[in-house]
Amino acid sequence: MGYHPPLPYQTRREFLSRSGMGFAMLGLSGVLADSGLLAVEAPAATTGLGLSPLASRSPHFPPRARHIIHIFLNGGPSHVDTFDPKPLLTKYDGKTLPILNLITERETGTAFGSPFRFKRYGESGIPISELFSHLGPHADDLCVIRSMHADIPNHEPSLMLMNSGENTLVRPSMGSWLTYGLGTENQNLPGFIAMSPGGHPIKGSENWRSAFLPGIYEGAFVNTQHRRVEQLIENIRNPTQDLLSQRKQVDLLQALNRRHLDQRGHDPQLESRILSYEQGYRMQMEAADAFDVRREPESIREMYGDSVQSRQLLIARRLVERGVRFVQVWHGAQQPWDNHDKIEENHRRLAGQCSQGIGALLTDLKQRGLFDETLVICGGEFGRTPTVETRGGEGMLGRDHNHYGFSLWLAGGGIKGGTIYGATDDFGFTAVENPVHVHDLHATVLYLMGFDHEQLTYRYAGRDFRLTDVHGQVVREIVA
Amino acid sequence: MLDNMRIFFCVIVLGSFLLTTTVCALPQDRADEIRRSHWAFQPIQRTQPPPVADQSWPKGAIDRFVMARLEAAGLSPSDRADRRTLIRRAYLDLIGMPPSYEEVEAFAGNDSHDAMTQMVDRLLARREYGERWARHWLDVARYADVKGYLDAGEQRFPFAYSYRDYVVRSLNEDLPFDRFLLEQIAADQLVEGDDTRPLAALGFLTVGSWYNLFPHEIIDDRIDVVARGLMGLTVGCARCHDHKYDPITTEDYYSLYGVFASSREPPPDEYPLLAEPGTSEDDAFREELQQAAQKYKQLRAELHAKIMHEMRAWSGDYLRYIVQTMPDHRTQAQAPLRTERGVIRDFSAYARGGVTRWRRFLQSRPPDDPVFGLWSRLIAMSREEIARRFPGALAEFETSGQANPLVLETFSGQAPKSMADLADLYGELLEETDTLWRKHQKDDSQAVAFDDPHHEQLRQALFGKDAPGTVSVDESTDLYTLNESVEVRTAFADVERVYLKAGKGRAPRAMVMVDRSEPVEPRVFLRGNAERPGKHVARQLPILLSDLRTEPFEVGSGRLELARAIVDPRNPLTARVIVNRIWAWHFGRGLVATPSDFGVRSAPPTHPQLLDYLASWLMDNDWSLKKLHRKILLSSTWQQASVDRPECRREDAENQLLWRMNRQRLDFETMRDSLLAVSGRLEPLRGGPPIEKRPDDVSNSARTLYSSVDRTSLPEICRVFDFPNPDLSAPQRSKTTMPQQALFLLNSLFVIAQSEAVAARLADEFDSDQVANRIRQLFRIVYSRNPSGEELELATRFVVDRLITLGERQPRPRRPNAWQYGFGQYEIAVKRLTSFTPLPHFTGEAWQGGPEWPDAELHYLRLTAIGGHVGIDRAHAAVRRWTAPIDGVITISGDFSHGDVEKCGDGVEGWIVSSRSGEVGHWTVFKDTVDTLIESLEVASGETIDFVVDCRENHYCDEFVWAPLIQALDSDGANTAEVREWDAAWDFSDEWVPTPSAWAELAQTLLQSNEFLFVD
Repeated sequence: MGYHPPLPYQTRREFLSRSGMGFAMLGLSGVLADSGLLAVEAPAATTGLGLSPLASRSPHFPPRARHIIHIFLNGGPSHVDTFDPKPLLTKYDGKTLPILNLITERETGTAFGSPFRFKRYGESGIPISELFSHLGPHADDLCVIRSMHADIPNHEPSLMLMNSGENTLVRPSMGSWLTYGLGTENQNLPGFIAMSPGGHPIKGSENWRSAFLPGIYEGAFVNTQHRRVEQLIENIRNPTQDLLSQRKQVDLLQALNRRHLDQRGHDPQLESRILSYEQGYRMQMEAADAFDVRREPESIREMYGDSVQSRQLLIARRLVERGVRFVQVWHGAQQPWDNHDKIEENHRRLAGQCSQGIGALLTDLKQRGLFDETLVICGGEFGRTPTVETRGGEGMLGRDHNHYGFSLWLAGGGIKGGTIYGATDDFGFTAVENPVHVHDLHATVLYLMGFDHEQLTYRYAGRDFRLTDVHGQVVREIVA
Repeated sequence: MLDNMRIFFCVIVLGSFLLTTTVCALPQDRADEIRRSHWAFQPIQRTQPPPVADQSWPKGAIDRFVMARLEAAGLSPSDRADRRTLIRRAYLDLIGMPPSYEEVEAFAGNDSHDAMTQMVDRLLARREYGERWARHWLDVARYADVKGYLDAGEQRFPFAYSYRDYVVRSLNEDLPFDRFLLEQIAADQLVEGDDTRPLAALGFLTVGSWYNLFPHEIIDDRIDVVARGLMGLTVGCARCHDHKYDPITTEDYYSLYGVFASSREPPPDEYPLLAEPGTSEDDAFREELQQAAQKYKQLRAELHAKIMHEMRAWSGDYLRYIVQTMPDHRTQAQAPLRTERGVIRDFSAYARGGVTRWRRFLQSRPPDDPVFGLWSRLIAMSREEIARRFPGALAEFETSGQANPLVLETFSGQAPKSMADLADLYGELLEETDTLWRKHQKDDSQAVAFDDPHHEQLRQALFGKDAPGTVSVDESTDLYTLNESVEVRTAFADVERVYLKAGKGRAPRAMVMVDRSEPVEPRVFLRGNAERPGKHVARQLPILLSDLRTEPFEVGSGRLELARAIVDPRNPLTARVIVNRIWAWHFGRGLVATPSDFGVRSAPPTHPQLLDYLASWLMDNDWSLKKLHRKILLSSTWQQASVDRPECRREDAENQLLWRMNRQRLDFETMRDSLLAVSGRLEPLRGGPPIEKRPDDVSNSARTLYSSVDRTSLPEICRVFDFPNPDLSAPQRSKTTMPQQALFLLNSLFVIAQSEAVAARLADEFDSDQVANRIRQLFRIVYSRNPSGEELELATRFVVDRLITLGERQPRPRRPNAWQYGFGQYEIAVKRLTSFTPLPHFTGEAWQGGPEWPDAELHYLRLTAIGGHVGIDRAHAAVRRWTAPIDGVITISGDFSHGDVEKCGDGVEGWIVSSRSGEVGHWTVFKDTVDTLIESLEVASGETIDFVVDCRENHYCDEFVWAPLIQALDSDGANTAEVREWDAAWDFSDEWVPTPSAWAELAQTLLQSNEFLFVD
């Protein structure tokens, strides 16, 4: 196709006037000078470079990772049962802790030793419980942060914090910030995709919203319960036409559009719309392909296993392979990991659904050379109490929410594998050593993706907003 | 799920979002200087149009302002657009739909000098004008029909639409804009007499997100929509710290906070009626409404009484609990949250407000407090010191001269060793007082105080105005436990649901706001933290507007006074902000590029004098928006051609100086409404409850304005076409171009349906079969013009080719349905289904026993698109039956899952059974999911494949999900129109399916072309 790259008039100006991400990288020239907002020196650069809002862009400095797969174990997996073993807790099992039970959402009682066995893996000897034994072989690739902390022991604000850096106010999500900052590498697929089998997690689309960023940076939701591409992506297939017939229609359309354009002279918005039809047309094939795991060899499908979790993790790999910037993989609708009751049975069931798939994902990314350019993040919105939850004074065999300290692991691009960073107290209640707030995690993720988190900003309502607000410290110790 | 507690939020959330730590506030002298110098804060000037060299082009004042700047830049304006362009531009701009071919032709042929004037006036008089421009205003008003995420209660607003309809009506009646704003802020204080309709205006304040009932967020949202929406002031920044750039302080923020905190929304049964009662508002409705409201109010009153009682009668428990949470004084490992009487209101799931109130009360007692003086003296010591220093402290307390003798009596001869002991003794005394007082009241119901002043002093600690146990009904909300809170929200929702149930038969009511009987005296929250109240501020105007008024508001909450100041002609912002918005909605770009931010960091206006001219002109012309539209549309500036001129573009690529008209892509609503207009399917709807269907639902043919705006899940199509996030007041829409937009126009059933309708119009309205004539007619319908020769040729070639391929197809039914829905018995012994009975009733969503579910006979048995529920025994297994339409090999897949979080029942059992070969697969699931994969199965045409689910031992909680996908194995998927896949969920609905036809395809091509979707 002989079209110019897209240059969406107005969007460009709006984009630039609001973008605090350093204009040099955008390679735009004098256009900037006339915008009263820009007190920066306009760099000498090429002119006429198109700037689709999703065109792939370079960040502030060379990135360590280009894609993110965020495996969101929503509901709050228990850290003392997965990645943060606490022998002392087992010792106190059934007894009152010698420290004050912190205020969480509900009442908790005596110490509750983990019912799961831990084992050390790899050269690094990272302990992982039997729940995630499939991660054992990857221990030396993982960086387990054991000192995560958030602000509030309730799901809603903590989900918002983990996704958007703010507990209650309307703010853009991390995936939106990243697609805003980086665009995406495949114009035939959405740049930011949130997947969950069976429906939305708690807080629904607020988890991937773009808020005041333009709507195109919002996550596209995909219900991975479905299999057909029509159900996964809206309007991806014409209900009556096949692609060859449709091509004839598009050819006629483009002929009319070109005549229309010729009569009106130069107009980047008309041109970019003509281009968008070519992209849309191609997207139909590309998307159908990307979401169809049947195209994977049998051996790969077997490695991931046979569950909806495995399927969506495999889709996640297919998506980053095709250049999607940010893929969020939710465990399921509502908050499956929220085990206030019978945690042994429930955590075992949930981990059983995803452990193999996550292990396979790491293997698969490595096999395909994607591991070093993909940042994998895995965790919940908070952890769980080391004490047993009680209701009416009776123990429930489960754990309450705990935002004072919890674990989360990262792997892949830019991550120092085989690392344990930070620690909670002897019982796992509070992050005490090298605490990492969610803002710090965000700052680090942006850093790995090539951004100074203080400089990736967007002007809205009189302020320059950023993902980390006024907080956030890059945790350099976990960066390779 | 019911986890989020407002109460907890107050402490921690606000404490945590310190929006800044590094920013230093604007120094006072700098703030003063900005107030004096920044253009937007200076009085609006009555500017005169400047002289211009070229006298021929300008038609009026607007043109001379524009011309002067063009001339100064050495540029010239564009010629007037041709008449056909102008009429199309005017229609889309003013009413959001294109003119018909006949209208265009009539206008093009109208040579009278005032043809344009006549047309503009005609359009402004049409109802569609209000509908089109209401949508612009609703962006500012962050309008939605849904409250946002709530962890309990009803998410839908029953009456948000009354505000939407108010905006439409006000615009159509050309309500003066100052009055329009006054009503939106304070209609409750303006309405006199019988016409209650303006009360609906208050929806401007009340249709915002409910923020899961976090009170500070709701108030913040209202401050934002008023300040940013009406005056371009970004006051929200000042919630935690003084504004970094603009002269807006935290005091200003909390002055406004006080205004909105002093207002409340009555419960829904008290919403004022805006019309005669609706058709479904019969006695039963009124009775139900009254009962639901009564239940809600009674619940609130009971909880209020219960909470006050606990806070007083359990004082000892509260004191002990507080001591046990203090690291310096606790004597037990765990604080006694649970006591013999019940649970202390502290943990977040239990409300925390109770302990906080007690704690704050105790902390504020001075050492010479007659009752708590002794407590205050001792609490300052360490645990180890208490026993030793108690006698001295008691003596000092006694000699202070203030000490209450009853307190002294309680402690004399005692030797407490810790604050815990002290809490016991104080608790006993207070609880005794409570008992005594209640007894006293029983004897003398008129009693207001103890006669004995010492007893009275103690009583004051429990029942006094500032006592922790004295809470208003509203305040008691913060003390609800999780369960209580859910109960109250549910009772509130029950009232709302009475309305919602009445559907279209309910009359509109106004979502009003009224003043509280006692206005709130606001205090600054330090760093935005409500737990850290700072200095008191008055309810008054931001200091920036102190030229208008300096004294605090006097009447009630002050909303009316605030509103009057906003529309005061001396207000430098309001008129400028609205004329700039109107300009931006006409031209696609404002004179000020940031319509909701006129602060010092915004780009200054491109035409400052024009902005002031329009602002003062609007005020001089009764704040009439219609007059303003007319003035703009009749200017040479608006009537310019939009054609590119490279020599001008080189100088001013962004067209800031307006050397041409901006070409604009139709916004989402205008695009969709235009599609419906040319397809002839536009439903004549005139307001009322929102249509609860997505705008891309084929069966939704009303103007886009009337589709429900659900802020919890905005349809993807809205997002793709830049519909703004309704959680926030939107300054202007993004304008993006995305492949997903192309996909909607290429593939969506909605667009295909409109294309078919256009093709049907062609057949109905035009009897010529001749291809060229038909194409000409099609161009007239879609573009309101005739095709050129070249276009005719292109279209002919396309249509002939498609006619040959497709033929003249008649509408066909949905793809032959291969599925049936029934029940039967699976005989395990013989591995066959021994009976199959179709389910008799279809609800649109499910096949089941009858209209009611559960059904008297078949109980919970049913099948939905994705799953269903089993019957009561093994003879009533749910059966989804597929009849093979082909001979061949198929593969079957699909997740089979059972159960949810709740634990009950024993799971379900599923089989795939072939009529030819018997059992093909078998699975049992209990709170789990399996993939029912059958890699390869040979089938013969007519053979049935049954998906059987039965209940095992019991049928409790036996809801299941199983929507199998059957694929013919040699399928290559993408490139064939022939059905090779059968998806239980996809095939389930009875939805309309289009018929491919050459004429519909041609129509669709025109409908998605740039000519149709852009306005020159």
